Amino acid sequence: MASDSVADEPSAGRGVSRRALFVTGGAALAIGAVGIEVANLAMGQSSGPLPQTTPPDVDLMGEHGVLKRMLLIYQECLDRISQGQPAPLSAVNGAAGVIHDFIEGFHEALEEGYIFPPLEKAGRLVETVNTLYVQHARGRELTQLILTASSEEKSADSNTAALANAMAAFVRMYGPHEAREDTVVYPLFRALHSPAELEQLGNTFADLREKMFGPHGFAHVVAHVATIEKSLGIYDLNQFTPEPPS
Amino acid sequence: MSAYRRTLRPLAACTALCSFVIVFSSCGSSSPQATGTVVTAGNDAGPTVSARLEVADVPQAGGAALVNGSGDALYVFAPDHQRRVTCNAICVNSWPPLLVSSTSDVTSGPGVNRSLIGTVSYQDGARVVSYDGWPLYTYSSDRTPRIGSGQGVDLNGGYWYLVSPDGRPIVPTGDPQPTGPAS
Repeated sequence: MASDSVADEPSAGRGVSRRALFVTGGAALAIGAVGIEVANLAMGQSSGPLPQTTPPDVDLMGEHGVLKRMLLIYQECLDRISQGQPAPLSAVNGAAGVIHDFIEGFHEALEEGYIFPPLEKAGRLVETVNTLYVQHARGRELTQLILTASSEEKSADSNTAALANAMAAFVRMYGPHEAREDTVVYPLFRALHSPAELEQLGNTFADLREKMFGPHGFAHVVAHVATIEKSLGIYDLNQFTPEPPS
Repeated sequence: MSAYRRTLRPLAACTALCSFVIVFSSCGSSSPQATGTVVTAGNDAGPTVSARLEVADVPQAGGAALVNGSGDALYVFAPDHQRRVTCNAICVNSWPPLLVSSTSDVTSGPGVNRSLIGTVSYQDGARVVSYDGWPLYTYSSDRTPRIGSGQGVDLNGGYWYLVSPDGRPIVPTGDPQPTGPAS
């Protein structure tokens, strides 16, 4: 059954901070750490108190969730363009704005300031990290092009083609980019740091986010993403469930 | 501009003016642009005391542009308005400023106009090298010397431009010309 409810979306008006979202409601994301702790307790062991702060890698993966939803929005727009429909410029521009401000201006800056340098210093994943830096730069160039092209009220055919090419390149690059970070880069970063260091960095991330976007910044971003998805008719999660195999 | 951008971007711009120290003591930086001149959030070495300015061909500049002693392209940030550092907080992760102790600690190569070299104040008593009043920065994503992949990028609250040897921001056709302190 289709549902258009946003009850499961973090609401900017509900006073839910990003930190609180993950610490109190982010059981799924924190399930690894909690699961280990629960297992230890079951065996009569304890590795110490449960972490009070969202681990930085978990924080970053949550932000990757926002990026993934932007990629899905781009893909929907690309599908429409390839079918000869008008480019949904407002949705494209809105998604590119989120990418520009939240992903490129914040999330990637966290990685460039705190995640990549210690890996380089340790001589780990040097080539991978180098590529990730370069991809950040290329993504910012593409986003600038997408923002400009999607701000035009009437998009000429040539402009639509350039817009589509830029979005396609962005989607193609960032799928592997974020998947590699989630499965290789972040786990290694986590393994190289003590729980105390991770807690300190988790607090730093939360403070930076609050200073930059306010206490409910993440909730605002997610709510805005949902608005764009609804404008395209792709918000309802159930529509993506396939029929049972025959 | 979308409603999202109208509401969130001023917050981001405001934050860029708020100076505070970022410390994550276990981290360090070995990125090429960090060599000898820059501090990022992940750099535990502290500000270095000297820097070098040189002129090199940078493709994105369409010719000669300023680089540091490691060959990393140098940029100016339009919101600095040729007088002060406004890239603070998280901005410096992507755009590390070129730090020195004083103007006398800046050496230069052929083509650099020494009369344009200066410094502007920065957080914690550090100083940032300036050129014709513009504070200078490197770009974390420039992974190869003499590459200016940040040229004309709009990020962290404003536009970033490579710098010509005569001190002018190299502005792509169609972009607004950055303004100085009198504007």
